[in-house]
Amino acid sequence: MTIKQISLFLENKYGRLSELLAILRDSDVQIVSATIADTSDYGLMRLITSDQQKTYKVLKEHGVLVSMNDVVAISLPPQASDFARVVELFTRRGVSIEYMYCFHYAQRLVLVMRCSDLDAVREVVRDNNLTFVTETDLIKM
Amino acid sequence: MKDGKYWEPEYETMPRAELTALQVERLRETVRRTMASPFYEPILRERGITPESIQSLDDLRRLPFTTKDDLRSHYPFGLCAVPLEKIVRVHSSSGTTGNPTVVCHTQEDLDAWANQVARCMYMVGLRDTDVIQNTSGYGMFTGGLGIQYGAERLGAMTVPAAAGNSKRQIKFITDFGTTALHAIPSYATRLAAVFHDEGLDPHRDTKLTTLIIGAEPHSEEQRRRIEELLGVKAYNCFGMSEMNGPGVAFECQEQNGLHIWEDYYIAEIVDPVTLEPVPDGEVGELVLTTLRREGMPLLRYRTRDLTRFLTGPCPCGRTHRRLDRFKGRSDDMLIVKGVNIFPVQVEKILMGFPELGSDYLITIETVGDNDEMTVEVELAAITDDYGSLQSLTKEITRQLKDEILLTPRVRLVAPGSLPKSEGKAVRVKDMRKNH
Repeated sequence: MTIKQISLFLENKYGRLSELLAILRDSDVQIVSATIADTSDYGLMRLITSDQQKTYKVLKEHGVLVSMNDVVAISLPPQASDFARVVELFTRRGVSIEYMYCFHYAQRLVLVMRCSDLDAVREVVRDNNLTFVTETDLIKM
Repeated sequence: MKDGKYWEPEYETMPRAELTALQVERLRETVRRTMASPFYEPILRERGITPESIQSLDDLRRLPFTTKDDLRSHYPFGLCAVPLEKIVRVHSSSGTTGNPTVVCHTQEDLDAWANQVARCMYMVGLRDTDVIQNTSGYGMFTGGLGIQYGAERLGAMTVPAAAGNSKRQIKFITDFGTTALHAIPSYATRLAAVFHDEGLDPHRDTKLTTLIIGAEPHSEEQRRRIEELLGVKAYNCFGMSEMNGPGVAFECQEQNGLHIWEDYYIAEIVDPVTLEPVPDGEVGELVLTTLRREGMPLLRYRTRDLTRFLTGPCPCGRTHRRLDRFKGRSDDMLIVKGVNIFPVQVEKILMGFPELGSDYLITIETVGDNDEMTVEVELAAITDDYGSLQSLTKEITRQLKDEILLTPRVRLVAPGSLPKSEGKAVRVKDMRKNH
């Protein structure tokens, strides 16, 4: 029910993002989603790719400061009302969302979240006919 | 030969009042000698200082400081206080930055030096029955001949193996039954590794009991590790070529601070900026005045080494004060917004964070009318939690402020991104307009 997410430390330096993306391109890793949280000094980039283990290994080999952790990814129809409904379901069930981002894929909206209570998330997904995105799904992307 | 606990009990355990009186008497004699030095004579004359005017140790404050630059700019014999025919040996620093410093010794000076080193060795339990092997380079470097003559004065069998060739060192240690080694800490560790490679266990296959270590700064943890590796007790030795060399201050068997031989030196600890004495027990720059030296007496020599006096008597019974493990060099000190800062203070704080790597860079620059300090430090690990990086930055800033009393800008950087110069890490970049 969870997938791996890669976080990496991105220096605030002209051309650095380009260098990083080139590393991934040269290793045949497809980027499914990329978000950056930034300060004036550095950014923290969160990546979902077609092969998280490989991404982690390649970046590490290039001396990039990187970590890997579990996140929940849920697939739903791309309407705004569906998005609102799903978040409301979690809220009602008492799930705190630490962070969230989303991306569109094949006419679907994929929500990626880091949240407190995984058991509660599982129940919400099961009881409301939602679908988890799995690592196998990612390879197909 | 001597028996008992002290090499020279009359000096080593002299009551403080007598020791002070002896220092005043010898300081007067030293001032008399320096009047024959082309460097000191005009300074003393101008200040109206005569040997007779030295009445107590308070009169020390009237004497000029001497710096390494003074030695360099009066190279080679400008501070010599006797006719050159009385000089029997010179030692010299490497002089990698400008003129080297030269120290001239009379025969009396060499005898006094040997006596100090013998006193140090006796203090840690070495006797004429010991076999002392010296792994220091001989020649102009004082760790060679200084230890050599001291060990001979003690009456020990000496093995002047000199530097390098670890296999040969080990052969001497096992064949001659070496009981004591003089080595820098990094070489002691290296020797332990070579013992291991040779299939030898220093605990079982040697008679080593004692290690004399100095010259390189090392932590208490490193000392304990070396003691364990070689099966020895390791004693910290302080010296500098300007003050002869090894044997100026030395640990006793308590291994808690180095006794500075106050019948040979007057030790002061001063604020490196104001040059005023710091309160007893506080860290400052060690300043030494020679009391017995003939060839090149030095008044209030600024060693640049930072340490403090350990207060209270030593259980060993010696009355000579103890210096704490050395903290660093005052040359490294930065003055930012009127505050004295040592890079080691910053390092100490940063090393307390497991999330950080070991490389850091302190940059000082002028922004408007102000000096601004930035500390860049390498991150060693991250998580997906953005907030934790921000709170890490905040916590580093807070702890640094508590330590150095001003608020630096803290920047987390990626590993390997800080500059290196010839493979060595650059720690400080002072970009201020007036520097």
